[in-house]
Amino acid sequence: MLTDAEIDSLIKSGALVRWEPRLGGRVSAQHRVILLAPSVAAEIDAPRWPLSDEEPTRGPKLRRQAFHAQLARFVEGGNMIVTEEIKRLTPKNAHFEDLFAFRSRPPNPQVRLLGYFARPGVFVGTAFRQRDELVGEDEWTEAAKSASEHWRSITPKKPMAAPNQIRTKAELARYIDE
Amino acid sequence: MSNSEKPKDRTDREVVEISAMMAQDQLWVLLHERFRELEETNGLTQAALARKVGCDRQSVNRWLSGPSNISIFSAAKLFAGMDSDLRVACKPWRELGTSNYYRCFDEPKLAATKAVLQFRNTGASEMRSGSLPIAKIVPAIAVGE
Repeated sequence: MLTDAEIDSLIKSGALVRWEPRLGGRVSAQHRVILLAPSVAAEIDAPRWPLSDEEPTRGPKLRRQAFHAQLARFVEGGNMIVTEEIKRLTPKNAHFEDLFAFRSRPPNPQVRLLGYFARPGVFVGTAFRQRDELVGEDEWTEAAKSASEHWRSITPKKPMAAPNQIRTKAELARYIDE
Repeated sequence: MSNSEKPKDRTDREVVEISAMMAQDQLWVLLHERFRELEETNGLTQAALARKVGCDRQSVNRWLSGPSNISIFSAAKLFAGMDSDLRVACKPWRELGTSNYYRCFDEPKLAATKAVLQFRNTGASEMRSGSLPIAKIVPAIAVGE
C-alpha cells in the first residue's frame, strides 16, 4: 500500500500519471483514482487506437471512447460490475500475484488494463493490451510480467492487496470501494 | 483536417462524444444491474425478458453485454419488462461544477468518500450521483403492496 506522500512523489517524479476523464475539466466528482505508467497513459490517451483486422474504420474510435467512459465511471465513483469489468487475475505464477485487470466491454476487440490497487479505490495501471493479443498463456504471462516489473520499478512496496479476502464478487466490490 | 476544423474543435467534439458515450455506458450499467438483480431474485432469463418485451433474445443479449446504441424506446421497454420505469433527466454542465478533488488520499476526504459509497451501495439501482445523472430507474410499485 502506498501512502499519500509516496503517490504524490511518484506523480511528481513522472513515474505515474494521474488519468482524468477527458471532459474538458468538467468533472462532477472523483471518488476513485486511476494512476498510469506514462507509457500506458500514452497508449490509452492516444488520439487513435490501432485498427484491428476485420474491424470497421470507426471501430478503434468507438472502442477508445467506450473504454474512456468506463474508466470515467470508475473515477467518478460509479458502480463497477465486478469480475466482468474488474477482475483479480488467477495467480498462475508469481507475475500474477495481486494483479487485477480492467476489462473493456464490446465493441471488440476488447482491451485489458492490468495493474494493482495501491490502496482501496486507487488503481495503478502498469500494462495495457488488446484482448486479441492475449491469445495464450505465454502472452498472458508476458503481459503480467510487464505489469509486475513496472510496479517493482516504481516502488519496492507491495500493492494494496488482500488476495485471501477477495474470493467473491461481493468481496471484490467492497474492496474497490472501501 | 479541413481549414475550419481547429484543434479546439476536435477537443470540444471529443468532450461531446465521450459525454455521450458515458451516457450509453451508464445506461448499460443500469440495465445490467437490474437484470442481474431479477435474475438472482426471480430467475429472470434473457429469453423470458425478450418474450416479455417482444424482441429476439440476441438483441437482449447484445444490449446486456455492453454499452450499445440502444434507443431510448427499446431501453424503456426493457426496463418496463423488468418492472421498472426509466426516467430521463438533463443536467446542464454548469451545474456539475469542476472538481478540485486533487488529493483524494487524505483521511477526511477518504472518510467522506467511504460514507458516500456506503450509502450508494445500499441504494439499489439509483444512478450514482457522481456520474452524469442522465437517468435513473424506479422500481414499479405493485398495487396493493
